Amino acid sequence: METAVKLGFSLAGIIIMLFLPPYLDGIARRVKARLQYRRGPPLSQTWYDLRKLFGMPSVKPTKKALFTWAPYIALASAISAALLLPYGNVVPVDFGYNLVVFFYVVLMVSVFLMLAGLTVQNAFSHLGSAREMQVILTVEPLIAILYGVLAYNSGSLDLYTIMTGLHLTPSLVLTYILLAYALYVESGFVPFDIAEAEQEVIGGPLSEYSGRLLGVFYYAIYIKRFALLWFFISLLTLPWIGPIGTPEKAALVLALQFVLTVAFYPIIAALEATNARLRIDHVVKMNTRAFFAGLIILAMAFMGW
Amino acid sequence: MFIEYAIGAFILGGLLGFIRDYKSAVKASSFMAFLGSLLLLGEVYNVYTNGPVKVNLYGLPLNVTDVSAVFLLIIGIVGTAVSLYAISYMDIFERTGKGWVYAIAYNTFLASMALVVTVDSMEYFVVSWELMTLSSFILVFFSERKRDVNASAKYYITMHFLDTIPLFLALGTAYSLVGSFDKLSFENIGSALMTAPAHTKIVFGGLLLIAFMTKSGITPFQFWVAETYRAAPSSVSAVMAGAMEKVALYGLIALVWKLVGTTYSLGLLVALLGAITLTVGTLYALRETNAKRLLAYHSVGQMGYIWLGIGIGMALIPKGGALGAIGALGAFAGLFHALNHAIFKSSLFLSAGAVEYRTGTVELNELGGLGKHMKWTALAALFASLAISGVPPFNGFISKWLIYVSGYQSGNLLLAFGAVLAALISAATLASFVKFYGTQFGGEMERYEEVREVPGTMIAGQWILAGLTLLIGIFPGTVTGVLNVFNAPVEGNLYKIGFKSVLFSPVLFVILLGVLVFGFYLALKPSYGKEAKPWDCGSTQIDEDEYRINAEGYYIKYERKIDGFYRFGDWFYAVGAAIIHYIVRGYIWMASYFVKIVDTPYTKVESVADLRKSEVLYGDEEALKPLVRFLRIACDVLPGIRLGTFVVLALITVGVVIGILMAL
Repeated sequence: METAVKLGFSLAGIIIMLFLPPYLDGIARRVKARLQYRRGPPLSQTWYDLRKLFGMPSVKPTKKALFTWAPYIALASAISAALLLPYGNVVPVDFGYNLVVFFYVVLMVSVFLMLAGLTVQNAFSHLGSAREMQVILTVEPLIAILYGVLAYNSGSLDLYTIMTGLHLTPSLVLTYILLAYALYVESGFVPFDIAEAEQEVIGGPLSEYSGRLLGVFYYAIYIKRFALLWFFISLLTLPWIGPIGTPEKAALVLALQFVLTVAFYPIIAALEATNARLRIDHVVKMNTRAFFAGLIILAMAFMGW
Repeated sequence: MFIEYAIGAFILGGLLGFIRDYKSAVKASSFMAFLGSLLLLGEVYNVYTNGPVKVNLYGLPLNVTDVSAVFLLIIGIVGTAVSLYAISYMDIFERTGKGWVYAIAYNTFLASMALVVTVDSMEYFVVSWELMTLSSFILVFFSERKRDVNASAKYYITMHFLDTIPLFLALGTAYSLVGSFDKLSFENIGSALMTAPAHTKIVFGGLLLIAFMTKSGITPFQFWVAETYRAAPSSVSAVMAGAMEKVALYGLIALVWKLVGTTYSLGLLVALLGAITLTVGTLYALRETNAKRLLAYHSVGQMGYIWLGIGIGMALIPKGGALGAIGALGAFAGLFHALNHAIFKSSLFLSAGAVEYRTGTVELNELGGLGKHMKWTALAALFASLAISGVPPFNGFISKWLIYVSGYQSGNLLLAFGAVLAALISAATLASFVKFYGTQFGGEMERYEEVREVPGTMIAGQWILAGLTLLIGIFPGTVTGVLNVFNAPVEGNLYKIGFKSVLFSPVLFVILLGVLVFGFYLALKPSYGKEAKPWDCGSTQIDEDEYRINAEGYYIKYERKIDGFYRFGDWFYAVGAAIIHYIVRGYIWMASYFVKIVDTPYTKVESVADLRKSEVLYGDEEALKPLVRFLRIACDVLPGIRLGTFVVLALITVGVVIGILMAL
């Protein structure tokens, strides 16, 4: 019985994580359209786009094997990260259910995106990769410091302990706020989409990709965004709803996670629609400030606030 | 048992240098070094299965403990791979023609490191240490280019002031404690230190700490590292970064920690030094565009990680209980990172050397597009780059991760902040290595169309190490047995590693990732339509080799943002340079009383350059000069005298002497 329930939840998680992300993008497109008084595309438009890309051959700009493999590795990393998250109270594949592992597996998507951009002899790709790296360079320290607060607050880096052992303190509230910012930046939403920046560097690391390989990369990026959002929502809700003993409660929690994820997307879309892309030096500056704010929060946490 | 044969192999390797032909001498001696390093690994296995052994090596007392075994493992792995690589690589220095210098210095270097980590007495420790410094110094200026010679001189002088002097003073302190040069074994010193007053301990420990900080390039003594590693042949840089720095770590653990003992505040000091070093080293590396200097600064940074881990151990282990367990984990992670760093850093130096071997340069701004022609080198460099950036499932991830776990859970703000810095710097490391890999192997350049892959032994050398980054990353259980000298409560078996509930299963991760990658690859097989050149906005006049960003431009915005840090560092460097300038002035002031410039008398000695430019006469030479002059004249005159004159002179002399004697 126990294993059957676990299996069921894992399956639900896998279905959500594979099928939901493009729909979330569809929601975002619809919201953006409505904000501009347009009708907007159907919710599954992103799925149609992906299907079309999957059906088209790619143009080959280089013979390097890494160019071909990078999209698949990025997609696999994104899915691995999503598999490491709790659906209800079940983690589909627990290869290391803690903050640092999750953090690095998500990072791998960006790593292979950058490496892919650097395999071709194209200044735009290189520029995009370098920009992506500079964003990571400034946002990862912030995330590291916030993880430090979480680890200190709950006494462990282990996510099971964090999900059950967080205490509500002022520093934790501030951590949630900054973490939302940091994960938003890491997801690369507007105004932080400077790496791809369609109008400036024509897709950055993706500029030489086309057809099926491009589709795989897009899919990886959607899943990565989903994983970060799902992670944030789990961190926001799970610690406060008490122990999950029964499958019924777990199902309710899963429903809550699902609803919140869908509900957060219009907010993200609204932010995207109402902002213009920042310049790379602006992002560097903002993230550095946020880092110092994070330092203060860490000190607060150690003082017990 | 094995270690005797290993030293024997190194000696034989040195002797083989006397083969007349440069290439044969270098190849034969490198091969003997390879065998010797393999034998060192045999010794590690021996100690691992049979426990610590005491060996009498031609009269030298050796004590191969479990800590020694860890460092022998590091030296063995690095030595094996690098020596194999050097068999072909050293060809590029053929114009120097001094195969015997390389053969002796290189084999001595490896042998002396093996001795430093195993000898059981203070005086032999110091002697082996000096031998290590001397032989590495000779290897650094092996290329004999002017800039390299200057770098090696700087290295040697630094080592003299900050390594040799403290070590000899420490040796003197140990002698004063024990009272006899014959009984300077570590055991005797340890028992003498038990009853010694506190300040003696502080002096002894402090002197050793300075020596070991300098050798591992801990801030503020990191200034010699970059130029030295740049100047040395890449294979030697690989050994210096991979093994020699770790030998200093052995000193920290075996001498400072085990012998003198540790306290909470000493541990915090070591951890703090580590945290500062990892920040300084890595941020300096970020702006480097010379591959070898970049790697050198990264070895400074990675030594910081290691010191942070060991520092956590030194601070928390004495506390015992739950904190003690976290401390042991930190120390274990530090040692683990030492091994991992040895592997991936040597591998990276070998890759840089392979590029240098084929293109003649390590300047990242000029390189590019080599991935197509040097596939194996490129893949090895990619593996090692991912490993040093801490990307799972490579080995760097595991040890860095354990350092974070111990730092974050230490419950101490300083240590936790150290871990945060470590995570921050991890991103900077990734940035550097994206640049390192991307600029050398990414893109396609016509300039390097003719470049071929390096010879087989060089590929084998790189791949021994690059393969190990993945192997240890997936199966950390293979080495944790040897490494766990602190009895850290590291959970798990061959498939899992972690601490308490914080676990990571690399095997599961690799299987999952592999299944997903290949599954999607098969499900959505890449299909290519036409081939096309990268899009260049339709330009017709573009130099395609330069249609990219060069190494300098990668992170320019970020570097500008942290410009304040660099300026502070440069200011610090300027202060250090000013101090050295005044030391030199003081030296010259003293020297001016003992040195005379010969060719233009009455010239005042103003700077070192004066001493180098003109022919000089030292005080002792001047005092003995009349005698020397008399002897010279005698030498010139005597052969010219005829026999008769000589007999007459001799008779007169004898007569005078007899007359004086009779008068008395």
